[in-house]
Amino acid sequence: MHEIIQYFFNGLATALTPAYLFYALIGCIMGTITGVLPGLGPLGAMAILLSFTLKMDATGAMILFAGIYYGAMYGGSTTSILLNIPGEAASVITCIEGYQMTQRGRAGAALTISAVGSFIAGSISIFGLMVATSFLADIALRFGPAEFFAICVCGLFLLVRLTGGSILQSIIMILLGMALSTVGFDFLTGTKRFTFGIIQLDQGIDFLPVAMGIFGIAEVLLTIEQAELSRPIQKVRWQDLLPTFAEWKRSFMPIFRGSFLGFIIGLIPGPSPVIATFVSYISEKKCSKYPEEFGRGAIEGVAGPEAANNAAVGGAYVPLFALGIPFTPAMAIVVGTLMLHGLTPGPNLIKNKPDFFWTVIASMYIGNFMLLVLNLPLINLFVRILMIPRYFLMPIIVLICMIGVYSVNASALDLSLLALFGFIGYILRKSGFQPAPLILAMVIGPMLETSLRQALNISGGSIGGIIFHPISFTLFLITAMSYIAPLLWRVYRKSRTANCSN
Amino acid sequence: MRAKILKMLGDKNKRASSGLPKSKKGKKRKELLIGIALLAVSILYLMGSLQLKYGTLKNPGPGLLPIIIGFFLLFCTSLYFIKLYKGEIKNNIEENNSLNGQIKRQRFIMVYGSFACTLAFPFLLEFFKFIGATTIVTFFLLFVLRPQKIFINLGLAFIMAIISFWIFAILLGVAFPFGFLEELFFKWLW
Repeated sequence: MHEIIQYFFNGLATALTPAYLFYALIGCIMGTITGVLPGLGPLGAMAILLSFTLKMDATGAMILFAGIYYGAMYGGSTTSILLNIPGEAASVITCIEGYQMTQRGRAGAALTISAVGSFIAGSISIFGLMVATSFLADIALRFGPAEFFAICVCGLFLLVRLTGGSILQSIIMILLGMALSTVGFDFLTGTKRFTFGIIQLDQGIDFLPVAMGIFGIAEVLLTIEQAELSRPIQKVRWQDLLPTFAEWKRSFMPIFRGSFLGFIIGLIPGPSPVIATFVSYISEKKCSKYPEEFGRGAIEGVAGPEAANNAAVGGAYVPLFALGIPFTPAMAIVVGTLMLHGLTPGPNLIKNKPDFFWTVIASMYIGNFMLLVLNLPLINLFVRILMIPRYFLMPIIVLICMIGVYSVNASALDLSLLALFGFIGYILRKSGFQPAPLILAMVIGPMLETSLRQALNISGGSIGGIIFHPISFTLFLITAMSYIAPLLWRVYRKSRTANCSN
Repeated sequence: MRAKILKMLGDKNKRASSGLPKSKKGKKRKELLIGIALLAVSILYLMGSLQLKYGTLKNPGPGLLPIIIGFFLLFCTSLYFIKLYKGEIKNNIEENNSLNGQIKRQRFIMVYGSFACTLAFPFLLEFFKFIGATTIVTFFLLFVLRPQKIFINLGLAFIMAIISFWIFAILLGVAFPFGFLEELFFKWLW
């Protein structure tokens, strides 16, 4: 524990240097802007800005991304509360109670509770991240290929279960992502796979054009297809920002419950911030002393979900730092960035580069504080971003994507891939396919292949030798249960209904 | 002419007999096309993976995982196609039928025009270098989104190209293809 505190304070000292403070500030502002703009979520922003991070060191890049991720959660709530427009998916639930509060003239209170709740939840989840990562990383150092293979499989299967939409479509996307990851040289034998004689494909399909295409270009194509929303911009006065004592009292427990729930849900594969807000909203509705107020502007319905989505961000970083495996699409982009900087995430990263890890953690606290200080006074300014016309904003995003991709390898093929994957992403998203599993599988694919081949080598070709390791068996069991349990529950409910009617 | 009219009438009768309205038929056709494309990709991938050495379980080769992925992908995409064909999967291809023809056409131009601009950029970059290619692409992007103001769009596109050149090439040091304009602005902005 003493060592953790020492590392943390060293990290804090580094994070407080002007360059890193600047990256945190830029990340927070960019995140808030993308959170405010409907359609462009943290994922899109991270994908678009990925190429910019190549000019920074890895610590700076991580600080920027953490700021974007947290900032988007803050920004998303602003438009949900004031205009009933969710800036990103995790803020959808805030619209229900937040906008009702605005209608009742309590917009300022909802915004303050949301910002303070997000700050508290963010701080709790970062503390959870510190403790859980250090603990898990120690255990993960003892993991072999069989365990890592089991974690990858478990992550992908749980992702299919939790992504939402059709399971078959999610499986197809995962398999397509894994298929993409097999293009290029085989890392063990040097054999070329699926390169079709194109020399540029020897090194594989770059993560950057795929991510930027699917999340950046596809997002632009989908956005320009929709009708432009024009709503009167609501102004919030300073004196309205202060909640009443009763509102503080009613928000206190929901914030803590939301923080806890959000952090736990953040550890699970899938779009954790979105799931966390829904779970928190339902639990608050059940726990509240005023359930009749839900749907008409209950403060608990803003405090809980807003805390939960911020806490989920911290939780999502745990499997990434401790195991090196991303469980959410945003974390897949973080892994991609780390790899572009020559770092492999995982337990060894914390062991070998503690200064990097603890600086990032400390900067998360700083970013959270910055967001609290910046967001409330600048609410009216951030809301005005919605007034930027779309015909002006969309070409800028396309331009950033194109130049960003070109700036990495100066490759025309990467630009063609960007356009191609942008169009593929647009078509697939219009057909109900979720792009997140594809990106995650593309990142997890090489890890899964390495661990599978190493595990088979070690076990002498015995599949049982991989499955029946204590940790891998537990993980496979959890995966199987996640599919079997809902079926059993459905059968049980059916039989109970039948018994009751008899 | 008569043959044309008779053919058109025949098509109309066929459409009426199929029991699906025109918009739904178009939607189903789009869904099936996506299903066929996915099936084609999975067949190609499996065929490619079968040419790789998959080794043994003890010494797995570079083809082991691709073959596993290929088989599962073919199975899943076939299942998806069958389900689509039978109408068991209700995809939400968003088709707003309440929009009139002109707005639909406008949106089509916006989406496919933007895609075409993105696709054309690498080729333009080779011939017109950075500032030229960026100006052309940005102008067309602005034009497909707001076709009314051509000269303002052209001015905006040129300004955006210069600003991005300044940020990326001069501040961030990205190596873009240089031509006459780039040399000129590099000297001027540096």
